Amino acid sequence: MIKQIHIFITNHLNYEMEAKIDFSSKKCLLNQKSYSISDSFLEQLLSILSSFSNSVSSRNVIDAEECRITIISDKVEKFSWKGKFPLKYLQLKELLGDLYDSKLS
Amino acid sequence: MIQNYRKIFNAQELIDNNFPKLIELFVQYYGEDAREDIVKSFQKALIIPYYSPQALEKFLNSLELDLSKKMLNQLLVDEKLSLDYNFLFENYSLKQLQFMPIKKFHELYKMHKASLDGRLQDFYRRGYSRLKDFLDNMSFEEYCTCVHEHRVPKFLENITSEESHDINYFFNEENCRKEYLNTFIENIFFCRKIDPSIDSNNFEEKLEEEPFQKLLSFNEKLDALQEEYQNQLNFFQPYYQVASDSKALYNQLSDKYFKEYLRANLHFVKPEERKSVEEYLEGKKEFSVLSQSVQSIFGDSLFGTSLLEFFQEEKEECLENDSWDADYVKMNRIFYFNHLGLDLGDDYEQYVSSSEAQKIWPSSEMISQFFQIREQYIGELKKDYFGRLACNKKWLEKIHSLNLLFPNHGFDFDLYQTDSTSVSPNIQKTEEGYGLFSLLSLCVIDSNGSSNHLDHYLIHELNHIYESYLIDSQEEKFQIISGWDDSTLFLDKENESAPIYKLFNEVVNELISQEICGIMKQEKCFLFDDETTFQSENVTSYEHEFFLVKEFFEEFKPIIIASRQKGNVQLIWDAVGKENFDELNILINVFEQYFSGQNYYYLMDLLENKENTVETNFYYELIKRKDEILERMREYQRSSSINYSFK
Repeated sequence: MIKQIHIFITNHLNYEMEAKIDFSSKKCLLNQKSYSISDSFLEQLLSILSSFSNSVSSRNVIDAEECRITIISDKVEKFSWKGKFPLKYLQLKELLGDLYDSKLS
Repeated sequence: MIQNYRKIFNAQELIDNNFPKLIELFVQYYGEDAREDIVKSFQKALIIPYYSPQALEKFLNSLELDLSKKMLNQLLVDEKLSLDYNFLFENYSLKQLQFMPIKKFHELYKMHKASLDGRLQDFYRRGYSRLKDFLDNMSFEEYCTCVHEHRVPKFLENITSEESHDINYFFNEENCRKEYLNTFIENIFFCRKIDPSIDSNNFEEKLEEEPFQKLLSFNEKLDALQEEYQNQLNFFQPYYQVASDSKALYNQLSDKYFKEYLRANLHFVKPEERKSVEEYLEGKKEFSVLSQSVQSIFGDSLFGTSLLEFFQEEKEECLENDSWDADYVKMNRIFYFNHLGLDLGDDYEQYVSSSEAQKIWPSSEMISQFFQIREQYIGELKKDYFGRLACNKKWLEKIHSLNLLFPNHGFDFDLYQTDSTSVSPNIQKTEEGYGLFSLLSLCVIDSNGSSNHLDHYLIHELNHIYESYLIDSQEEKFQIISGWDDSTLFLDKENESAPIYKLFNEVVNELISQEICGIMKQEKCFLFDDETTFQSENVTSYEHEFFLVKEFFEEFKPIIIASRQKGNVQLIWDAVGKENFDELNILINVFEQYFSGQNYYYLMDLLENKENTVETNFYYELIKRKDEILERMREYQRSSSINYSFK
């Protein structure tokens, strides 16, 4: 049973996004603003994250974007990528971006 | 303002023209002795200004809004109209003039001035024009008579419901009166903000008074302003075209490669459903009408979700380890069987033990082959799309001509996932042997459609390039150092280990960059920015660790600078003690681990409010440790008596 998911994306220069998604309250704290999230959002998020390969991946790039994800269920699982990302990474960013653009709860 | 937008599209020219100035900035900072190395290192780099088509679209939207806002504000000043911007225009740009409150007010004014007769004539004209396809040979006069009598001709009675609304509306004169009344109600609040005493009884005379006449005269200027606005936007017309062509190209290629992937995996489709899929492949059917089982196997695009993903080998591991998505995997496997017509309920174990399920359980070989094919077509889609965009073609040709050893050079479709600015070190084989060659991908429009701080980013990345050095080269293994950041490039495998001093290195690089930016500001030597937009500080999140590094940097600057060139990291270790240096590095990483992202801003709030919390105590403890380390560094330096001078 997933309790929380933390997603942190940064390239240190012009992009930083941090999301803390709480499954029981169906709230997402995105860049310190709270949003109500729908079942459909959670479904899309799970579908994207489940497709991510569980290995750490990196590419030899200076100032590359980094993404760190922590999934808290009965245990804590951490994943990270730098410069090289899983297939649906852009979908993850778009999902969070759409939420950011939506009305605050 | 428009100049700054134009610069983005002339980025390459701007960089080329200012390249000597950039060199001079670095020479001013590092000293004349460093000139040769600076020139050499910059020559061994290719600066590629780029933007993704999605970012371009957002950029053009921002441009429209910014330009509109600037022009409207200027008009308010010129016309000495002291009304609030939002009151008059809300958030609409000049492109959406008709939605602005002032325009709606003008609409009411026009309707009022036209009197009932004029409004009716307009209503008839609009109705006749809207319904012309249904009116057969009915003349305008006949139509007006019918509307006046609120009589819908018999031949229009069987029209579908969608159109019947328009027919009923425009065959009823009463709607013309309602239109006026509604417009009046909508605008009366606007009017009362100008003159609270206005109402339906004094409306006519109030409109003739100065505040409303001034507003009407201002309104006339808006139409001329819109024309000027459109003229200015016309300069960017080719880029609107690029944005729309890119989207069309992506959709076309996406469809092409999705079909290829389906064709190559057709054996996954049940024989009785193949015909239907083939019809889709021939363009005779839409994908959405194919069966659920087909859609669940392939997903709705190359990037969509295929239920076969849940049968991949790593998902077996996730079930064995009871990972976070184990239940999700089981649920989707059940969906897969259900879509194939096997429903044994919600208990996953039923499927595991069912011989029926085992018969259709996809084998690991099939799954592996399926996803290999998908990967292949995704790769082809990315390469084909990225390579076909005119803005990338010339760069790809240029890169190709450089004879870089590592084909995965970093200027590819994946840049569009991040819209980031970065440096990709590579190796170039020349007559003299192997040499370092870096690609600097400068994202001139970020994912929000903004182009902020580009001069600062350029300096930050150029400093990385200046500080990068090829230490060792073997046939398939190349050791590169960038400042203190040591990494190895392998021809046949990916870089696996994270550099030890990565963050420390970046923080110091940013400190140096800020000093070079200081010179840039002093010399007013800007490229993308100007005096109003340029920022030397508060630009990157590497600054968050300044409180741990700045003192060290200021105190040991000459040796730090020397140690960051040509792989001389040993110099700083010898000067301050490697143990001390490593301890400071640990502090930086610990701080980043606990206070990255929003936690940093939370900590800053606590510190500003002088709160005493676990977080602030931790912060002060780090400062204490940093001070202790610095003291040990000083002591170490005194005892080692090494002295370096800078410049």
